[in-house]
Order: sequence, then structure tokens, then C-alpha cells
Amino acid sequence: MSLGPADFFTDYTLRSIVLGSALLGLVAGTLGCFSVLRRQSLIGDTVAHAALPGICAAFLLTGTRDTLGLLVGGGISGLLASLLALAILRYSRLKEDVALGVTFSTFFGVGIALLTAIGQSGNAAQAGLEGFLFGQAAALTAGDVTRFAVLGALALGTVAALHKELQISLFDPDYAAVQGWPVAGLTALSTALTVLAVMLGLQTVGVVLMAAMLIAPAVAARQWTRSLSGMLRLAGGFGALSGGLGAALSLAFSPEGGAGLPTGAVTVLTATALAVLSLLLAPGRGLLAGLARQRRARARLLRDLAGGPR
Amino acid sequence: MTLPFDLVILGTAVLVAWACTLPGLFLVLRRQALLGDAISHAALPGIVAGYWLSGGSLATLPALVGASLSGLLTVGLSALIARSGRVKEDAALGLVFPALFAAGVIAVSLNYGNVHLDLDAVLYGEIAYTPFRTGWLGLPAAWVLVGGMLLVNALFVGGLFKELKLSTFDPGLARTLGFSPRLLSGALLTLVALTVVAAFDAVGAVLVVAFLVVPSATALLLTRRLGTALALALGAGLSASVLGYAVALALDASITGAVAGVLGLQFVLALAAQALRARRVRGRAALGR
Repeated sequence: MSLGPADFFTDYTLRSIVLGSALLGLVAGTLGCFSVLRRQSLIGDTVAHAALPGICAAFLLTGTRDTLGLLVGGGISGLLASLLALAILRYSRLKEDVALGVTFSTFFGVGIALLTAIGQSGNAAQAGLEGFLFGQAAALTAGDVTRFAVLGALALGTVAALHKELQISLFDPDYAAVQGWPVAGLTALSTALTVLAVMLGLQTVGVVLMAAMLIAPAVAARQWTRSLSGMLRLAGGFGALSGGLGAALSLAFSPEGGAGLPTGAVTVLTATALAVLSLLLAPGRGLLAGLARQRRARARLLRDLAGGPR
Repeated sequence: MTLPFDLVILGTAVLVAWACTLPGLFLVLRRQALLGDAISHAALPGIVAGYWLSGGSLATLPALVGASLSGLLTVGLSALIARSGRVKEDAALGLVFPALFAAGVIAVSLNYGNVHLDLDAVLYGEIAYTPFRTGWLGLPAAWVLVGGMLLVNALFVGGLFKELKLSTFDPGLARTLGFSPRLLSGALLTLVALTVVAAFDAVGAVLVVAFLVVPSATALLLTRRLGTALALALGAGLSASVLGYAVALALDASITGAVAGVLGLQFVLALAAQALRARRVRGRAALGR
């Protein structure tokens, strides 16, 4: 099947995949700003891996592979892992990277132990449980898109409503604490929203690639602006663009009758390309602009030196 | 000569634990703890390239070389991006490794859509199969490969302990004294990339990442002395391997997963002990004693 832009309006599957990916990009891109600025960029990777034991536990409890139940289970264990990481930061001298590394590798390990224990029990329904972790954008339905829209609006609405509080507890936690704001609670809240974004993305782009959907749009946006609200908006836009464009590209370039390009991977490469272009080309912070500034300064210096002492 | 299964599996686990812990302790101290995870995922395009070059076989020398090269590429690229000063280290890493992984996923789906290139085996590993693969002198192949890596790492860390310590805690002073912290750091990261690849062939990426970070983190909760921390971390890896193996046998679950779980439990216990001690010390200070 070869698809053109016009099919967007007529093809149900195409519309669901492109819209769903764009919505996911919008939510992940916006929320990713907080983790990137907090030097916890890889919290998305952590949460995505830490969801595994929860997914297994939910399966053991309900006995079915009902998507919503598994997502809730995964979300709970992802949230537990991220709270454990925050606790490690609070109660020890260990740094962000260690806190994330310890939680994700041990949670994922426990998840694999559970997964294999379930496998040994001979329960036929468990087949494909781990397929959950690799993402399958082609499976997106209009119902998923609606769910993304509702949960995404909830998450972005929270960010908009608590914008000031989140900003000050991010950049100056001591001041926020002195002002009597619950800094730990606000941090946990923005982390919980990130968990939500990861759980939305898990089905679409998979565990590993979810990390990029949080990071790349935020890195791209950071190069163009100095304000948090500008960065949040731009990152959301970049995320939506990479989601929509990535999905459209992966569908457009899929060979006739072939398995097709994996949407998640193409989306991530699109987001990475946007980030790299921003790093190079953005005015002010961009590397090329920096190079030009350096050259101008050198020329001015040489000119002044050639003029001799005045 | 055939060795008992239990001995081969336990021996492999301990060798991996120690080979990972030696460079891992310095990664943890240098805020590069997530490098192992990044390398193990970013190795995918290298594995695919090696698979293609060798004409279709996983876990062969070309695949290992390819994986090591793409691991090194991850390290180099993210250092390059971080050094531009526009992006912090963690975000630079998070930009590079998913992109490489995505490239690998696309390469797999384009060329091997109908071949079962078993990604699960690469990521999860199956230490229980190590007894079936023999290498040099009839020893298990995993022992030869990972044991060799352990030897190299031990020589590196043992021989350059003072230099590593200095350049980790005070790179400025190290440079002033005429050492090159950047060269040393490059050598350390190269060893990490090689260790990750050598070990995940045997036990899977999960356990490698856990062994790189968790025992050292646990040890650093308990002591502030580097030498003691190293000894504690090696002990934690050994005991978690033995306990984890026992748990896995009892539950009929993945050995890799169970060992990682025990490592997590050890860490949580150490964290709780440290938090309790801190509270007692604060309490005493409040009483003026």
C-alpha cells in the first residue's frame, strides 16, 4: 500500500497513527523539559524499564492481557521506581545518574524474573507480554488517540495551571521551600506526569525509544529560547512535529507489502535530527552562530592590534 | 573435562560481577553511571553490521567487534556533544543512544524482517546456556571472554589506582601534575565499552548494567574510602550472585533477573542503614553530644 498526503483525510489507520504519534510527541516533548533541566534526562528510560514488573504483576492479578490494566500496573511500578530514585537523591550523597541506574536495572531485573516465572507456569496468555515493551505504532486505534488526547490534556493542563510553582521549585528549590511551597511534592508531581507520558508512549514507540521522545525535543527547544514557558511550548511543538512527521515518513517509505519501517524508530530519528539542526543553526546558542561570533571577535582584535597603540 | 553446571553459571556470574565492578566504581564516581545502559542499547547497529558482514550469525567475532565499535561511538559522540557546552552530559547521552538504537532497529527491519534476529537474547541474555558453549582449553567460552576482560580491568585499575583516584576526584590537580585525565578517562571508557560487550554476550544487558552500577552504589553508601568501597562492591557482587542463583533455582525464574533483584535488595538495605545512622547522628548533634 502506497500512501499520499491526501489519504490522511480518508484513511482511518493512517489518521490514527499520525495523530496519535503527534499527540504523544506533544505531551512527551513538553514534559521532557522538566527532566532535562533537572539533569534527570534518562528518567524516561528508567520509568519505561521499571514498568516491566508492574506489567507482569498486573497480568498475574488480572490474568488477562487487557491493555489498560497492564498500563496501570506498569504506571504504578514506574512511579514507585521514580519515587525511589527521588528518595535516593534525598537521603544519600549519590547523584542523579546513579539513582536512576540503580532503580531501573534492579526493577527491570525483577521484572524479567517475574516474566520468566510466569513463562514457566505455562500460562498461554502470557505470550507476547514482553512485546508490549517494544512498541507498535501500527496498532494505534482511534480509541487510543482519544485516550492520548484526554490524558495529554490533563497533563498539559496541570503544567499550565502550576506553571509558576513548578518553575520556581525547578530553578530555585531553596527559595521555593522558604516561601512555604511543597517542593518535594511538586517534584514528585512533575515526575508523575512524566510517568504518565512514558506509559502513553510505551505502546507506540517502545521502551528505549521513549527516552528520546522526552529528551530530543527539549534539547532542540532549549537552543532557541531562554524562558521556560517558551521552551515548554517549543518542545511540545517539536515533539508533535517529530511524532507526526515520523509516523507519516515511516508509512510513506514502507515498501509495498513489506513489514514497513518501524514508526517509533523513524519518529526518534526525526526528533534527533531536529535537535542536531537546532544545536547547529539556532541563533545565539547555535554552534555556527558561536563560530561566527568567534571569528568576528578575532577579526576585531586583529584589526585593533594592527592599528597599534593609541 | 566437563564442569558441573552450577559451577559454570556461578563462576560466570561472579566473573561478570567483578569485571564490571572494577571500572563501574569509577563510572559511578564520575556521574557516568548510565553509560553501560547506553552502550548496551547503542551496540545494536554494530551487532547488525557484524551479523551482516559475517553472513548471518550472532555472537561471533564480527558482531562483538561491531558492538564494541558502536559502543565507543556512543561514548565519543556524547562526549563531543557535551563538550559543546550546549547540552548537559545526561541529555547528550540520551540524545545519542536512542538514535543509534533506532538506526539499528530500522536496519533490522529493512534487512532481516523475515530472519529471527533474536533481540531478546541480546538484551536479556541467558546465563543458563553458558555451560553449553566451550572455548579455549575446554573451559566455558564465557569464562575465557569475561575472565580475560576481568584480568585486563584488574591490571588497569590495580596499576593505575592512584592516577584514577586523582583524576576522578581532582582532574585539575591531575592535569597540573602532568597526568592526562582525558587520556585516562578515554582508556577507562574504552574498557567499559569492551566489558559491556564481552559480558552481555554471556549474561545479557540487564545484569551488566546492574553490575556496573549497583554494587558500587551500595558500597559508596557504606564508606567514604575508595579502597574499602572497591572491596565492599566486589563482595556485594559475589554474594548477590550466589544468593540470586539460589533464588532463581527456588522460583524457577531467570537467573539474570533474580541476581539483579538481590542487588537491588542489598542497595535498599544499605540505604536504610545509612538513613538510620544519619538520623542518629543528627539526633546526637541536636542533644549537644
